Amino acid sequence: MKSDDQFPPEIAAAFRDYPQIGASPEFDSQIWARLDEKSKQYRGFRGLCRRVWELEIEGVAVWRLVGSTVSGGLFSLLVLGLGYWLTKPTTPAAPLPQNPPTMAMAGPLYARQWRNFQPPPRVFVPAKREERGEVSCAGFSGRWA
Amino acid sequence: MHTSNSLASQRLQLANRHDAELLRRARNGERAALEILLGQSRGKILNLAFQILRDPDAAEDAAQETFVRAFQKLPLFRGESEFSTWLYRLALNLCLEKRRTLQRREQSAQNAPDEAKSENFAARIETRIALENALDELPESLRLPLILREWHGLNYEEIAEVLRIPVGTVKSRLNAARRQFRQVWEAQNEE
Repeated sequence: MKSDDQFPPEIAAAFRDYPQIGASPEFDSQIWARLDEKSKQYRGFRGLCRRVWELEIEGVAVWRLVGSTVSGGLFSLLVLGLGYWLTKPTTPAAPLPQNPPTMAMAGPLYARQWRNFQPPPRVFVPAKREERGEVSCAGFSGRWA
Repeated sequence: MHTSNSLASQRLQLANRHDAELLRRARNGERAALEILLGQSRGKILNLAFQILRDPDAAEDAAQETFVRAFQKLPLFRGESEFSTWLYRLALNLCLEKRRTLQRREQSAQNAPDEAKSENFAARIETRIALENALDELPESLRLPLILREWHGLNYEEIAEVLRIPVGTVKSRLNAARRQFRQVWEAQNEE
């Protein structure tokens, strides 16, 4: 049975004899020209910004980030809009006082409105003596009206 | 002249330093440190590019681009792996990008007559063609570990780091790659 850990000798030899290439005479000078150009681009404040952009922002798929932020924002707006539409009051809101006479009237008017909308006070009505079957220990018997 | 002498003496001083020290200096933009760091892997990266792209000019371009990217991304290298392994990963990603571009160009230029191409093919040794054909038959997931293992002598852990896959996967892929390669090789020899 053949082992999968290594190749038979003829294949191993083919791999071994595969030509290796050497660098051309201009290879090094070209690398350094490109590296020098790159380091020039990284000089100064603009260079720093560029480097930060290349390293930090390019690497995190900025467009995906922007896309998700925008779509998230749109979705939130949609939810808010829907909520506003559902809870929109059917009667118009009372106008706010705009000038000194209406401002002067506002206080008593609001007070009256406040009074009118208050539920009537609950009063304890004691039961009549003949309605009571028996006298309670505390002597209280009746209802809230 | 004076500059080149001082650069050479700096290089000598730095040659025996630890990788971490070289990296620190290279990050600070010290050219001699950068030369040593990149120079150690120059031949390996160039040949890796050639083995993937099969074109000397494209390989040189890819190797140079790898070194520029390495310089650019040097601040991100945290030393969690060997510097050479990190460089291999950069080179591999870049070569795969370039290979896809080259393949698209080749497909669009397939109908055009190309004498240089045919001469180039004629000059190739039969074994080399067989080897390249057999490698081409393998999917990328099997071809890359095989190249790193057979031509670059990387161990399983190093291949796992370069390809960012578990060591167990490297072993199984290498086994599958050898098995498939042998089948294609034998089929070619029978023809």
